[in-house]
Amino acid sequence: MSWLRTPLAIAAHDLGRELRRPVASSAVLLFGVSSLVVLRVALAGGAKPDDSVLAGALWIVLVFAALVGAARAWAAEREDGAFDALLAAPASRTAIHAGKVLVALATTLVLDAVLVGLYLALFGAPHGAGNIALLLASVVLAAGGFSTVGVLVAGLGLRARSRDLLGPAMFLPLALPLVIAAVTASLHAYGGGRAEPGQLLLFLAAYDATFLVAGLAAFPELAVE
Amino acid sequence: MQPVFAPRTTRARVSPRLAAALALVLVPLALVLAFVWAPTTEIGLIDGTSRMQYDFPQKIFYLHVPIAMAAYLCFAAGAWNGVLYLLKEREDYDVRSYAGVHSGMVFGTIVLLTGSIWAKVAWGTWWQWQDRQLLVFLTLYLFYGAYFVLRFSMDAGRARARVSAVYAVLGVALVPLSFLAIRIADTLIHPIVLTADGDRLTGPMWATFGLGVAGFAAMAVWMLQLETVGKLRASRGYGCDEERPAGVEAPADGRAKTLSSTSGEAGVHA
Amino acid sequence: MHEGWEYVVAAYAVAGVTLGAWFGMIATKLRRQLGAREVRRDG
Repeated sequence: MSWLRTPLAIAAHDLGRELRRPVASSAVLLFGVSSLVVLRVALAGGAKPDDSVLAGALWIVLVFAALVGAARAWAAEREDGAFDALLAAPASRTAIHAGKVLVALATTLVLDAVLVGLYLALFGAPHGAGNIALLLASVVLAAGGFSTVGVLVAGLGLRARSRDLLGPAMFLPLALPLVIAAVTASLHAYGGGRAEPGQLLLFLAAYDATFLVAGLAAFPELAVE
Repeated sequence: MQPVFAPRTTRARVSPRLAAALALVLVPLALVLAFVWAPTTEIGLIDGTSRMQYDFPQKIFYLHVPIAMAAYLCFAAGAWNGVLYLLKEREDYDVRSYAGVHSGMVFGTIVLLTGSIWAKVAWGTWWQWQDRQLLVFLTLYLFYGAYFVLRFSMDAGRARARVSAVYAVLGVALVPLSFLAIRIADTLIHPIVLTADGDRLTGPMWATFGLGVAGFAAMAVWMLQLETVGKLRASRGYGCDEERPAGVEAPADGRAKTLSSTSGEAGVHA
Repeated sequence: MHEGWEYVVAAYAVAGVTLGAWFGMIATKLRRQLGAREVRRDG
């Protein structure tokens, strides 16, 4: 498993720093939680929200939280100028990219766990263990997609000036197919729609794989000395 | 003097003169035939229960669909030249890729606007979210829209060219993924378009449509060539400064004289 | 008059104006570039 050593080292390094001083992740978490509260109040007020609102609200929050999170993938390296040092390190660029995806995946999963928990409490859970499992599976698979696309987009914008505006402009169109499938899965979990849940989950997995491969192939192309 | 609208292009696989001539002959021909030759047939919506309010607006399709194909062709040229840039790192591939995305966006704007007019008359709404092709096209359009933000927030040079190329290529993954997602998630009825079940589309209709597709494809190739020449010259400092890399001075006389015959100029490899 | 003609006119006008404006812009750009080259060659 030696090919996993560099990604794991990068992941351990970044996650360790985040655990010691969780400034960024707390900010993203707060953003997610408060947008859930805003959405609950704005969409349904005191009434019981209907199925499509339920499915939609969750994904609005998860997409925007992922967006804010993805912008941070290379933030530390940029701030302390360590990016060139990282590229100069005797590690393959593919492995560096894989490491960053691992970091993003771990943070996204933790973030989503909190947000989904809160969401189920605020908006109401689907009925039956199968439906809850479907919802959770789609969230986990979507977290994979958000991480792979997020790190790829962050890498593309690394040397650009208007990075903060650029990130969402690139991320959202790329995330659209993922959101379409994920929302449909959630809609199904809440008893709406006629789509086949197995196919939706399979699609989400295929989406993750596509952008993982695309990112691993693209990142070495982006790194110009 | 070099002809302005059909620049000599030593590398072009399709002669710009030929592309221009085909576009200027075939597009007007097809659009005139659409009105005087192709019959107007009854259009049923695909659910089989309803008919369109009017039949005459089907003439929009002779414009809308060929331009949509031209837009896809331009995006494909952008992606393909992106691949070539990553492989060979020659400046003209970067410019060609940019010209492809740029031209695709212009055609794409027309596609969205004419499609929207069609949606209004056919379905009574300016945008039909249930229609797959609309959503796929919109996704791709938004995606390539960000290309310009990305490109213009970087200084000209190798880094920008590589990033732009990678981005242009990513669109290739996006099309099948959006199609698949929408297809799988498809919970809705599809009130679609010109019913393509053979007997409805008569010979003259197909012929007119085919001429339109060929004409707009030629127009796409021609515009790609013009855009490429314009952008290449600009990047070398002719006439305007928008594309010149920082620190690169306008070329000296000697180079200016030979530019029209340099190998890098113009043409598409689509 | 054919029913729904105004939609057809609108669609063709949108396409014509957009393509025309695009072509006009690129033509102007190419002309200016050629002009710049002629000047440079003469000077």
